[in-house]
Amino acid sequence: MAGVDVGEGGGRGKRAVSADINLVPFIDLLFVTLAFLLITAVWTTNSRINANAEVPGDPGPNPPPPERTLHVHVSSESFTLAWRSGSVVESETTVARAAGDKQLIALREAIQKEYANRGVHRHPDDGETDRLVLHTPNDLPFSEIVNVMDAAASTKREMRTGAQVAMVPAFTSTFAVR
Amino acid sequence: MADRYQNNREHNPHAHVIHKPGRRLMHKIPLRFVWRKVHGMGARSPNANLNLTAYIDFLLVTVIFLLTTFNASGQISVPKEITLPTAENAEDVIDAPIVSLDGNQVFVDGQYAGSAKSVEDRLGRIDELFAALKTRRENWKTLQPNKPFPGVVILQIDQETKAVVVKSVFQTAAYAGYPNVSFMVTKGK
Repeated sequence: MAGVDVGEGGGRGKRAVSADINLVPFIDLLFVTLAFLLITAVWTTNSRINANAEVPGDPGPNPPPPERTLHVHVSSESFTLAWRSGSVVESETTVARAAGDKQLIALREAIQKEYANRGVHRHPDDGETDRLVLHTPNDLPFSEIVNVMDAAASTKREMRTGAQVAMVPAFTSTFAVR
Repeated sequence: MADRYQNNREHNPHAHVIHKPGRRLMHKIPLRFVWRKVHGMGARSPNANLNLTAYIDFLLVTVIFLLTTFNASGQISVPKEITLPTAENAEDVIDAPIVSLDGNQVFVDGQYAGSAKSVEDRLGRIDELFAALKTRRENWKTLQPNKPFPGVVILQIDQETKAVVVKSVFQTAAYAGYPNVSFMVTKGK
């Protein structure tokens, strides 16, 4: 038991100055707090992966030239990465699908390479991001869509926000609805 | 009277009844071998004090650590039927309407908002979901007229759901004025 010892006391038969502090309630309180915090702790946190469905507005009488976008076609055999400006296909790369995480690593590296070679918005002062359009078969499981979006989000670039430069995803994903 | 009893205990008939607790007996009885036995025959005392300081320190550090890392931002209830996909490059969840797809039923913040049966085979708009989201957007704008509408909605969809259903919900949210669509995932490799 803990004690507070300040010597022999006042003498002359008075009560001793040294006193024992009962630590049992304190330990009980700590235990209860610890148990509460452990029970209510969030061990699996949910996160979000972003997509964007913004449709370009009316271009007006003098429409700007169409911006280069990366189209990712997902099929059962491969991922096809194609840079397009409007309807013109500028380049095309195919990544073969494989079992397990290998295909995702290959896809991630391929997207990073494509961005390094042909990405449009790369300067830190550029507040825009490149667009990635996802073409999927209708029966593709949602987990596979998220895998491709995750691979796209792994490509990061610097972007100035105020006085600071932050690393942000280089692509904004969206879906081809046709 | 009290002073008289204290000074002269032999005349106090109740003096032997109440004693102050303690080890007074050891001091009064001049049996040295008893005294030595109580104190372990001159060796280590059989009564050991357990040092609780380290234990209390450990508990305090653990409690402080748990209190500082206590985070309620990821505490969003996910229906048991929904298994979220896993993603590595994901961001923290923000405060936004949550559209969950439980089987064929669509819910917006826990309230029923139509069925996804009509979009299982072909891409289309879910009218009840569209109406529910549009109402929320209008309510938000009424309550906060001076702020720009963020247009963020979070979709809570099972990992086995077909792409056509996902795209239909995505498109419906975009039509309802929510272009920034996020998919809820479990963070990890």
